[in-house]
Amino acid sequence: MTKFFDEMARVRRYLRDPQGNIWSDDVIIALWNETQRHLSMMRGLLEDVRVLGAPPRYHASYMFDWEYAYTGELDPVHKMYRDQGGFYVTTSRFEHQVHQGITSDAPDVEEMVSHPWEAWHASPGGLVEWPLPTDFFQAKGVYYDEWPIDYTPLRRILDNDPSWKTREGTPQAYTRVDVASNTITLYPRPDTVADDDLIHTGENAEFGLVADIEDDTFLSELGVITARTETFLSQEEGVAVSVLDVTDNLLLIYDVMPLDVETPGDDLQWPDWMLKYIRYGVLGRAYKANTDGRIPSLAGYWDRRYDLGLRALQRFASVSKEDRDYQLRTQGVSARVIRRHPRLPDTYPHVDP
Amino acid sequence: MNALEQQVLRLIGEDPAAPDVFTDTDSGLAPIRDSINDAIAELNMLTGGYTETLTVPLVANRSFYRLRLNTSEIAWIRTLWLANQRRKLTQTSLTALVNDDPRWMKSRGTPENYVPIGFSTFALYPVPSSSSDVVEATIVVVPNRYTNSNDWIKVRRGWEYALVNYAVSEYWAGRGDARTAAEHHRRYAQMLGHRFEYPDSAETPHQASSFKQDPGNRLGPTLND
Repeated sequence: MTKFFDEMARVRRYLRDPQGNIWSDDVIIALWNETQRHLSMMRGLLEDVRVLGAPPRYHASYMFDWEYAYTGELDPVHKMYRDQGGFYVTTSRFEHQVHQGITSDAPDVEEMVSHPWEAWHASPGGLVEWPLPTDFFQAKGVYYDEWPIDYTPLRRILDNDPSWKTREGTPQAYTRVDVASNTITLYPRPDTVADDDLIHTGENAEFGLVADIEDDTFLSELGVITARTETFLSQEEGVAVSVLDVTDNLLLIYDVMPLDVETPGDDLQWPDWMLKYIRYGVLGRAYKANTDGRIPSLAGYWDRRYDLGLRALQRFASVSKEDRDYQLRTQGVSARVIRRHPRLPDTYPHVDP
Repeated sequence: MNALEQQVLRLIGEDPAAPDVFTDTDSGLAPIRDSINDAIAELNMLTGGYTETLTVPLVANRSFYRLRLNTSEIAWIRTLWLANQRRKLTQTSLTALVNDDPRWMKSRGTPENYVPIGFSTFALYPVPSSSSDVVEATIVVVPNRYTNSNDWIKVRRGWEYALVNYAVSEYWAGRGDARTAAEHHRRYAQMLGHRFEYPDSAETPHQASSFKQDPGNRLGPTLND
């Protein structure tokens, strides 16, 4: 996988600014991130398939928004409890009434969980959300326990089921309360989850404390939630047979929005042969920027190269489907499955039917 | 340096026998080779001109397979061939698959279809019920960048000089001459021309056909009936 500093060296070569006297590393990194997002949104060629474990796994939980800045590189993180607009945090509804000096108690029959996995040891009174991968852009297929579940707008769920927040069962759909939080909510919430891969150890094992998760890195200083590494294996050579364990888990097939480059040593998520198109876009933007190196003719040239690259990728998206058969179908009628019979080896004598 | 690199040097005013700037070393030729490699990648990406074949052992109850190569990068899957059954798998899309069989991930049997996901992953349907078969995957690849003069330039021979113009174009762009750079890039595109759009058209028989059946007597019964 190519490191960003290789591409930055090429960009600097074409900018004729090897020492960064005009365009600093930060400028080039920012232009790169902007261009790769544009390319991804225009062509959407990156896809991936991941398993999201059930129950959802988070690296840490926090209460107030200001704590988020201190979570550092931990990702994903979960916001727990009820946040009253950033002024204070409560667990039960009656606390809001007490705060206002009201004596009667609003009902709150369910428990408030602090960490999502607790939802299967109690009856949570709120939503349980699954964190999506950091590079998630949009879903192409979501499956729970090998069954497909469709996206349903929140409004439709609310219209049909007033108890949707606490409904348990086999998930039939998923929704997104908002997109900024990068989570999905299953409806209904799974009533059981397979925790065979959760190893309950230590003196708190009887309370459901997760001390370790199989195949994960255990960091004792993080307490309840352990650090989590990749959820699927890949072999170094040849063919990697997927070991995505989809039983009682969420399988997610999605379009990838590549992660931002932060330092020159970062890995790039694109195939090597696509990097040049991002480079063209960076060069066009760099030459167009109001700096000492502004050259409109070169900006135009590299912009045209970038546009040609977008068209080339569009053609690539078309030719890459050369093996697909297209057929006209009657709406609502399943396509006829062509079943080919096994062939005899060519050494067998030909027999007329 | 190979013949293409020598031609690039001639077009930009260097003497291949005694170059001043682009000396015959890995570091000296790096900018030229970068450009030629970019052009090779683009041609292979667009035309599917270079393929490799992988043998993928099927594993019972495993539907997703991820391919990985050391010598190239995967562009797309050209075809999957089921060895024991001696037939190809039909490519489909996730949408069509879910439409035809929502419980496709639970179906078990002999694979008949595959769904490509991304560049290097595919899913099989039905999911293999046994580990006895293998799939031969013919995949269009973008070869890794060549690094020395003796490496094989994995591009159709007729397009090799288009690579030269591509590299010359990027040299002039690096020098700041956008007009000359655009001219050479235009020559690169023109040298590919019609064959770029339809690289196999000269060899492919094109014909139209229809399914003919006896129309019967459309005018109705005659006196002879």
